[in-house]
Amino acid sequence: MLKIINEIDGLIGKLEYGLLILLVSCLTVILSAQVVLRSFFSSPIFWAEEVAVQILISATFIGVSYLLYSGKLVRVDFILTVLKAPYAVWLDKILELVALVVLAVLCYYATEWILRPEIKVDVSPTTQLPRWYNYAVLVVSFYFMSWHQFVKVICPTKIAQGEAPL
Amino acid sequence: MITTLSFFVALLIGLPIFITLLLGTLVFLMQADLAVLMSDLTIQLYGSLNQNGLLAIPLFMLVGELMNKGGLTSRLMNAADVFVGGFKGGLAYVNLLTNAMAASILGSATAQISVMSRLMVPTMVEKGYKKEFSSAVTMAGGLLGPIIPPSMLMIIYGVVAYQPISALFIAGILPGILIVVGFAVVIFITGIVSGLPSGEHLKHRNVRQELISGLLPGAIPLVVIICIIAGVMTPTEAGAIASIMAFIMGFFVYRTISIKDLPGIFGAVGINTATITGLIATASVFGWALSFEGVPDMLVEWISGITTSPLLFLMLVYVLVILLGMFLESISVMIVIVPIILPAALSFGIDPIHFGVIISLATLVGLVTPPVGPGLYIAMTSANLPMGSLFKAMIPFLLAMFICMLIIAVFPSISLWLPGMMGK
Repeated sequence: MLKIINEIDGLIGKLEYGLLILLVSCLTVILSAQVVLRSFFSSPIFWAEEVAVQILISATFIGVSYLLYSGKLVRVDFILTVLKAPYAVWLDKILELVALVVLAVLCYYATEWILRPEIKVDVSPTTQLPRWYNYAVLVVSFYFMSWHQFVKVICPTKIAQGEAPL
Repeated sequence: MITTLSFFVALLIGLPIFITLLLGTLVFLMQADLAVLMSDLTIQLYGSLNQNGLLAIPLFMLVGELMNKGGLTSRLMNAADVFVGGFKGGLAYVNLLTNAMAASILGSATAQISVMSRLMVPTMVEKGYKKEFSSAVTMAGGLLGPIIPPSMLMIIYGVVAYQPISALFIAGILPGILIVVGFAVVIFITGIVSGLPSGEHLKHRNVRQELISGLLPGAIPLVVIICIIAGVMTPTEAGAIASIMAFIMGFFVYRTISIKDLPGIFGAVGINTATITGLIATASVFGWALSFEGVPDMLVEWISGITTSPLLFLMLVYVLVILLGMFLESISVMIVIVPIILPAALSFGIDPIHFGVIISLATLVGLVTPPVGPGLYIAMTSANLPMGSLFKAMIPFLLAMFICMLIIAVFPSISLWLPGMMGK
């Protein structure tokens, strides 16, 4: 069972890394094209900056989820490194549980928020596209983060897995 | 009070900062009986990142990644050697000058220390320099990255403090030059006191070719700075142009980057960007909770009780940020501390642009000080040196840094004169 859970966790990690590459490359292409078209052809892409910001927001939360998966979220680990082995492990486990509770609470309220009728009909003023899709990326990322954290809590030997190249 | 306490306890015992900031916000909402606002947390997180200024972060990171992959530093080293390699202790000056030039392209102190440690330290040791001194010069040079424009710390400060990024970029130029001079003085004095090997130019096949090859990447920050100063482009647009230039150089001119390198480069940019923007989002929400609780006002009141002098206030900021920087990575310190402390700085009549320079300088010191300083660890690992001896060799450079920081705090015009001249 643990093996399957770990495999699912790894698959989600790979998916996140792949999405991150795709999003950053799209963001770069859009902004570069915008500058070139505006500066040399006086023909700016009117939606470029808004879409780029939406991509950045999506990349942020997918990226944070990937950082959680790979154990690379920034933290002050001074006390953890100073503490002796059994106490450091206990403290780390308590911190993992606290993180899981925080993320679960976030998931609950984010789901409640995104299901509101006014959020479903919210549209972007520039592109006239529904914003629901972009908001949903945050909610899905919170669920991915919770899953990664859950796996960390139930798998005692799980360590930082490093990058998951495609 | 419970919010602040829960935040600091969670932070110090090792909860990831992203989660700590969320926890602090949740604790605030619950204890203030504002649970009804919990479901608005997601839109608050979304809204905090809905700013065009943030787009400059991945673009400048991409420039750094592309140029790093393109073997920029060895080219810059050869170009710097043409200018200062012949002096006594020449390689130490080459190291410093290469760092100053790379700083304006890479913009990250840790990346810079990592690359330069591998490149310069073995070369310096081979020429008779002490390993500790070589690593200390490299670490000191790495500190220039986040202050010489275009600087990532300045972009982040600009976003967090709602200040114009172009003015912050320009404000970093003179302090950056002052620090380069300060470090050069340390090398000069070390040469007199303990003796450094005589200067000897590295073997160049063709000086002119080395200069062109090395100084070509220098066109990137030059274009960025000129375009921003002239008001032709926003920092985001300048970042886009810089990435196009870096891509053309790496792909077509130097031919050091291939298509198959791009996924790795974009992946690294995505991960590094998410680390920063994730913290900006949660810190902004936490900052909202703290303002609700009146923490910035309490801080202003508390500091006003201690001193009414803006200079003394800046000294207190230096101490606080350096202490935090000893345990926390520089960008995280910046993101966490600025929303809390900026209102106090404004109440003391300190210019927010000058304050950006002050706080950037203070966060840099933590990069090379124990127990957490990532720059120190990178240099230790690269040179295989114990922390004690490396930190001892770093002390003269840190003293020079502190003197420069004091001068900049006493004379705000060092930061503000150039932006004023440019009408920023």
